[in-house]
Amino acid sequence: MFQNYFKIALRNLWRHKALSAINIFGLAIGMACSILILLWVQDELSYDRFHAQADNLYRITCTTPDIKAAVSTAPMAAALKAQLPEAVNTVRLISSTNLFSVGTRKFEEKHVFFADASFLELFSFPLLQGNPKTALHRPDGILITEAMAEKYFGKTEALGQIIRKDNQDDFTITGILANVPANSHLQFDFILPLAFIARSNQDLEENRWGNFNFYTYVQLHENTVSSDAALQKLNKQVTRIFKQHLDKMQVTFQLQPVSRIHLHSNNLLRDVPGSGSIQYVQIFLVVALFMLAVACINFMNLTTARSARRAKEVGLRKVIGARRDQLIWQFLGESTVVSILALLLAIILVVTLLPAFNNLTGKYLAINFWDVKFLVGLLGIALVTGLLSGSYPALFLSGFLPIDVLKGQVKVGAGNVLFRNTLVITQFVVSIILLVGTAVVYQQLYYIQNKHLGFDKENLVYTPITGELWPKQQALKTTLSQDPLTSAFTIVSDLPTNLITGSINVYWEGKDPQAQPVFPDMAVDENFISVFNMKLLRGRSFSNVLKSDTANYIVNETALRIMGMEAATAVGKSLALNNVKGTIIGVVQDFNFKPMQHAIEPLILRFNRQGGTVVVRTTPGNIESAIQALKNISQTLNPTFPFTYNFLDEDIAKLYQSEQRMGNIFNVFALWAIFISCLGLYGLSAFMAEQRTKEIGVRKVLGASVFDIVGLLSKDFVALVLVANILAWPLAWYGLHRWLQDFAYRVEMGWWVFVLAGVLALLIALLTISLQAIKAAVANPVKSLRTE
Amino acid sequence: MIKIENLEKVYRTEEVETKALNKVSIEVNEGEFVAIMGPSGCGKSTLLNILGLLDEPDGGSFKFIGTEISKFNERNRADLRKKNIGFVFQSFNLIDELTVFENVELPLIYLGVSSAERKEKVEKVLEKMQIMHRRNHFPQQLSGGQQQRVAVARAVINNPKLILADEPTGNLDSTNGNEVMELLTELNEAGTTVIMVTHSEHDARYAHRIIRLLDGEVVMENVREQFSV
Repeated sequence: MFQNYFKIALRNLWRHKALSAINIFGLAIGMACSILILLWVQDELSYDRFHAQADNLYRITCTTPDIKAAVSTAPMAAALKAQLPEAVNTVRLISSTNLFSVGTRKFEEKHVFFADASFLELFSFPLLQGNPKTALHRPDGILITEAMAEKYFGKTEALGQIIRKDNQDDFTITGILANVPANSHLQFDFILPLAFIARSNQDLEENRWGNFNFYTYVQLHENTVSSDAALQKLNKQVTRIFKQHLDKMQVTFQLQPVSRIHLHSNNLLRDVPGSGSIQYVQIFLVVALFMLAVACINFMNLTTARSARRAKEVGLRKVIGARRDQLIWQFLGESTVVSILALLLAIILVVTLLPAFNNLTGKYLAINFWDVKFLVGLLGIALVTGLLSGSYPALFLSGFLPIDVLKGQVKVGAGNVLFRNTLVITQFVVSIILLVGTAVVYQQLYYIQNKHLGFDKENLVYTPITGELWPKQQALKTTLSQDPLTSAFTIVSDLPTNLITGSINVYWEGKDPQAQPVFPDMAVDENFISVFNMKLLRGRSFSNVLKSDTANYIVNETALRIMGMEAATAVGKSLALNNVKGTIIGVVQDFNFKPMQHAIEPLILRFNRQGGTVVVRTTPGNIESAIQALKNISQTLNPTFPFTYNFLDEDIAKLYQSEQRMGNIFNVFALWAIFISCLGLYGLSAFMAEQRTKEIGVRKVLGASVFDIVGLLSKDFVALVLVANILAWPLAWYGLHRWLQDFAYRVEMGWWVFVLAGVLALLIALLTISLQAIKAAVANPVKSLRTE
Repeated sequence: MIKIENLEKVYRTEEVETKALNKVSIEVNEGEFVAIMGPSGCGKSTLLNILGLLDEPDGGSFKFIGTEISKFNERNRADLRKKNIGFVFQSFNLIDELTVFENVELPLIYLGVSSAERKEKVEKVLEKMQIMHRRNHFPQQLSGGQQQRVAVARAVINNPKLILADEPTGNLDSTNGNEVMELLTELNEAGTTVIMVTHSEHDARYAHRIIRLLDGEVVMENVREQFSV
């Protein structure tokens, strides 16, 4: 029986080649899009699940009334191990940027962690060489990844060799780690023992409870219940342990499951870079379903539209003795055959498009055809698609009464037309939503990338102060100011791109003793405000001659609001930051020092005594020569460290990488959704034109023009697209409104975006239909009438 | 074999009610060859459809091999149909996507006959219908006469007790038409009951008995002896 169904399915496909091509091709594109998106989603969901203890690992995060942060304090780990019975093991990490050298090979490395010796006990990063039990026990031992071993040692054996850090400290390589999987929230090339900095890091040396600088991970006993209620209880216990040491601070602690770090760390301050967003995963899952639905709809539509042709077969089979359920299975079988053919084509498409998709998403996704789960998933998609897209045609076609068929009375009922129209509308709703989405996402991107930040971000080039540069700061400043290419310079502790520090240790006259607002702070020099083209509202900038300025402060407008001060009277008032008492000497106009998701926070600028970064303002024609000048200065004063530089505006653009990617993905899939919809529309209009051949012939004989006929055939579809617009607009508005809520600074969605998307969809649809309509309209009426 | 009494069938549209069959009573015995005649619209196709269990009557009784079936549901009727009745249509009604062999084989598939047995049976009947050499052709590749032979082959493949033929020669020239009538006669002589609707007095002469309908009522029944020359 199945053989018979299969045979009929294939012959039917072959007989109606054009239609079959539209069906299979449309489905294949829909499936390929969905598979690509699902690969991406699967990768996003797979983060940190590879750890053997993944279910028992948690990161300690903290929450104050103002902020949430991914860091904890230095003594927390030991206290948890001692006081929390559920805690089996803990590890602390602190990230760092260092210069490493082996012989003449010297590189600045940004993916460095200092970690407790227990690092490899909690995390399952495989150690290829070395003893995992002792690898981090010596304070001068270091773990490097395979890639680093090759980078520094080439083909020679790296284990046991010496690598120098920052031109001064020699480390022995005690282990070679496998390269860190891309789906790990911790990305590193070097692990050094925390013991090495135990004497130089004040937090560690003095066991400070008040400084939040360490990523702290805890492994709970495997019998610990991980329900929300149980976690809440543990959170309270952790907070209680902290309060035993520092009870005046308004802070609570949370255990964040390691497998949730990647997608559930939105707005977490001082998080490791590269985190994703569960919101985007959800959005793209919906897009994947949309794409598949749009493709299925084509299939349903074209098959039901063609139903009259299959009616005879259905009637005959019934006369001969087929039951309805047998026919339903036959049609479902046919649609499954089509969807499996489409799947094969989709796999070819996915393999071909994967590099471009990786480029689009910034991922390294690969297909493993030996992965049983993946194959089952693919077959599942084909089966679901087949059954879904075949369901309506199967039910509809199998319902024909043989007696009607034999009498030639098969009516393509009003219900069928209504259903088909609903499907076309659905397709265009999806397309229009994606179009509006693309437009708004790009608008918002343009807005946040071009909004005035309160300073002039163009033409700012910077280089980090490393090695001997800070000890030689006088010489540095003198040489910089002597060269007209670099004379507009400032030295800042942090760049105002994504400032992650903050302090609650701020006091002013009249402060509510209960309030603990967090004040981010930056150390800047006397040139900062002028080099960045910021606006000083009151008072003055720092001075390099006034000794007292080392304890003075400049604040922004938001800080004034928080402190309840007026700009006119703030200058001269006293302010203490981290127990350093001083005076407010100036008020700077608010500027953005965090990504646009965040509103401007209160900011304190203090005098820079710690180094950080040299920022130079150049002019558009002089950028290359300014960089060369900076390089010369750096290499003269700091010859043992390599010179590196970056542009501030590029850093800012990178902050919106995931938004940029989302925009690009939306764009690509919107175009594909429209393409698939039009493919279906093309098939449907071809069918309609064919069905109305006689009507068109009669109308032409009676004097209708080609234009009249095209209008006649297009009218119904135009109405459908218009209805789709009306349905799509509020849905698109709602979804995008929610997305925009994540930004403190956002565009207003203009009505014209919606209209534009609608008009675009309408035009594309009209173009598609007119291809068929014109063909039908110019045909010789005599021919069509004769065939009747 | 078939006994209908006071059978009624009414077609309704919004404004008009048409009695297609009005208290029709007919009896057909096993082994009979009956022709149903009458002008267009007299109800003969309706009658044939009811006899073929494709349509339900609105009133009266219908006994098929002793069983009252006027109240049977679609599933039971389909079951009874596929085991007992073969159909031959004016327009052949072969499935275009299937070959001659596959078209004839189809009823056996729905009866759940094994593949080997199907092959044997189909080949036998194709031989008998002298269409074996065309077994792998598609219907569009055959002449009308050949197509109707395939249709007859399909109708008899599961040895039905009853063959219902609806204008079986209506689309054929006289040579091919006569061949088909010979085939039906042979089947009847071999024991199969045949009921045939026809416009053709010539074809009706092959039957033992003619039932004439007019406006949904039986107006005359005559056996062959009375009208044969």
